[in-house]
Amino acid sequence: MAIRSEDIVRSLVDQIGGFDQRERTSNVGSVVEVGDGIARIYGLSQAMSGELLDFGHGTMGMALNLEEDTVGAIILGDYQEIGEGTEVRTTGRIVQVPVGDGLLGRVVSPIGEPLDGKGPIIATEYRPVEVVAPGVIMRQEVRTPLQTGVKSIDTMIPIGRGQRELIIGDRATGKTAIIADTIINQARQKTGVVCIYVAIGQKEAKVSQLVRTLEENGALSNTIIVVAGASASASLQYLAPYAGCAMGEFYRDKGGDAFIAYDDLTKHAWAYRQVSLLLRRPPGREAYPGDVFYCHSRLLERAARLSEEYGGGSLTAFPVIETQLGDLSTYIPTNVISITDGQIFLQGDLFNAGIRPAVNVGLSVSRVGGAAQTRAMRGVAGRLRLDMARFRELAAFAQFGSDLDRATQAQLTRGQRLQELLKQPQYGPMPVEDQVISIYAGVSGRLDKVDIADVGRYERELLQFIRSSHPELCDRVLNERQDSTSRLNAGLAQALDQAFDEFEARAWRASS
Amino acid sequence: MARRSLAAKRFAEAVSSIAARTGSWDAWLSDLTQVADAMADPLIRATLANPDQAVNVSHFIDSKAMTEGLRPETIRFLHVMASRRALDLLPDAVEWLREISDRARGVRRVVVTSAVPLDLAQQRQVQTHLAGESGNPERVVLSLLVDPGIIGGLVIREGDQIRDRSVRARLETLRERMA
Repeated sequence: MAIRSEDIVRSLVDQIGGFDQRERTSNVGSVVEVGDGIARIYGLSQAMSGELLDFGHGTMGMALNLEEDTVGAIILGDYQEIGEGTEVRTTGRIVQVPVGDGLLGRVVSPIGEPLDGKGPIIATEYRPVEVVAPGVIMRQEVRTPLQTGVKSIDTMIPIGRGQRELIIGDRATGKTAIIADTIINQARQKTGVVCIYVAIGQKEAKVSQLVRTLEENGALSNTIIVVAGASASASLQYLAPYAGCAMGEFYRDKGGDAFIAYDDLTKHAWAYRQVSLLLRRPPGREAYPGDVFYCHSRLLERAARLSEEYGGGSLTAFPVIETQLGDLSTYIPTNVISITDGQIFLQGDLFNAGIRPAVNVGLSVSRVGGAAQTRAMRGVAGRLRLDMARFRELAAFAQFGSDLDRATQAQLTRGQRLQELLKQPQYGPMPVEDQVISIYAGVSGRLDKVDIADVGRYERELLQFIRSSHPELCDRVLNERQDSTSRLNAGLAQALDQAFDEFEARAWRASS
Repeated sequence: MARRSLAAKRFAEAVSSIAARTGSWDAWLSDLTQVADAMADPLIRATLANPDQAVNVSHFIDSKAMTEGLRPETIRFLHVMASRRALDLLPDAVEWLREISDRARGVRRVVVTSAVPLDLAQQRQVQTHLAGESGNPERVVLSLLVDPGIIGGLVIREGDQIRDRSVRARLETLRERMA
């Protein structure tokens, strides 16, 4: 679209015509102390909590501590220009970030500045970063699934739109990989869910790698990346999740669906601890401030499924927590576990044993997502969960004895095949109908005669066969409407069994 | 805007409650200003701040040179401050006391910056405008500054509140809007 000069002139005339502000009132103070991203300002008696402060030179701050004669503020951006005696003014506004479709496919800072060199952000709207979460009246229960495309999660730890599901595990156990798979799955399945990835205190190289991965998989155009990297000031790291949440709320309040991942809240708690100590707030347990729980709970409460009167939109949150040596019982992990609607526990031992994604299905739960699972998925997942639980019990016990009765032996065989079936390569999310078919093959005993090493190949070839020879089965699985919650529709099960027989007779060649 | 000690504010508040009861604002202010001025001498200030000199400070307060013309209440107040080793806070306390007494007596101190010097009639106009309909223009005390950089209009500062009615501020706002 060409820009016409008369349009520019008209818009200027409009702006000048509407310009009648005769007085600019502001409250001023002067900096008495500055450093490490925070400033203490004398004066500013009229400042509001959370108000945007103008430090001059285009640097802004946010008032956090209101004391008798001083205000403690975090500085958003470069503080090299700020010194003792610098004049600070109130702006009468609270901290806002740009939101809207102009941010899709972009990498931005927590104050909405572009970091990807793709030009300025075209924002249609601004929203405050700190808002009160929707109340009881505005919400409804979770009932639509959010497909992650990860078999072990979608089957046994189902996530609903509007849910808060914690991803917890040691470093390098595949936490970010699950988020990347989820984002890629939204793009591949064209679910219309807008994704937001908030990197807090992450290595910039890791973030740039993720951006590249998403781009290669065609998922970046549907995603907003908010970055406060390891070198960003603690103030920006503190602000990042709230800013990302505001961007997600734009879609939630419009009636759309959004997904946000906070990677990770451990580093966010560290950043908040640093800011709080510098602002001289009293330290509590592990030197975290007393309101570190509230700081996370008010953030995660903003993830919600709105009721139909309010548009029926949703914001699903995946907060991430990094544990040390698998210890879940320290301060921040227990806090966030108690806030969220369940957790996905990733274990280093499983990861090293080649079970990837390394989800410990025994310790992982989803407290609300079951209601959102599709019928067909619920029909096969119940059996899978039961078989896996029996397997875990026996596997520990079977290590001691070699003489096992046939039932136990069969249980172990089944469990090993299912465990193999749940393995999945990175960046390979699977559509829900494929998941149901492949899990059904596992729980109906088809794999028991297949060699463990061949399970992956069996699954691959089976899905290929069904897609080419019986594509109508995929639709039937997707549109399954039967009410029985624990078993698969008998008709569908029969059709699948027939297709499996056909596959084994015509296409499957077991290696010997 | 220099930062004033909060501890000094507590002393000022104590004095102000006595002054308000007895109506002796001006006596307190003139007495304490006299002492604060004497303390502006760096040598005296350093001596008073030295904790080893506590006994000497007491003598010093009672000395003729110091107490010339002071009321007994003021001398008692200085002893109280000295006994808490807070005599060095006196200049800040005087500033606080002035602010509290202004508020108690409805006096407003306003710094007015203009591009050209204001004549008496204009000053009177500013006072009347700032006092509003119900206020007394006599109680608005102006300090005048001249800064051609504001181009035109006035910048009115009262405490930490600034009302910027200058042409410069309007141009800045216009620029921000059009950016």
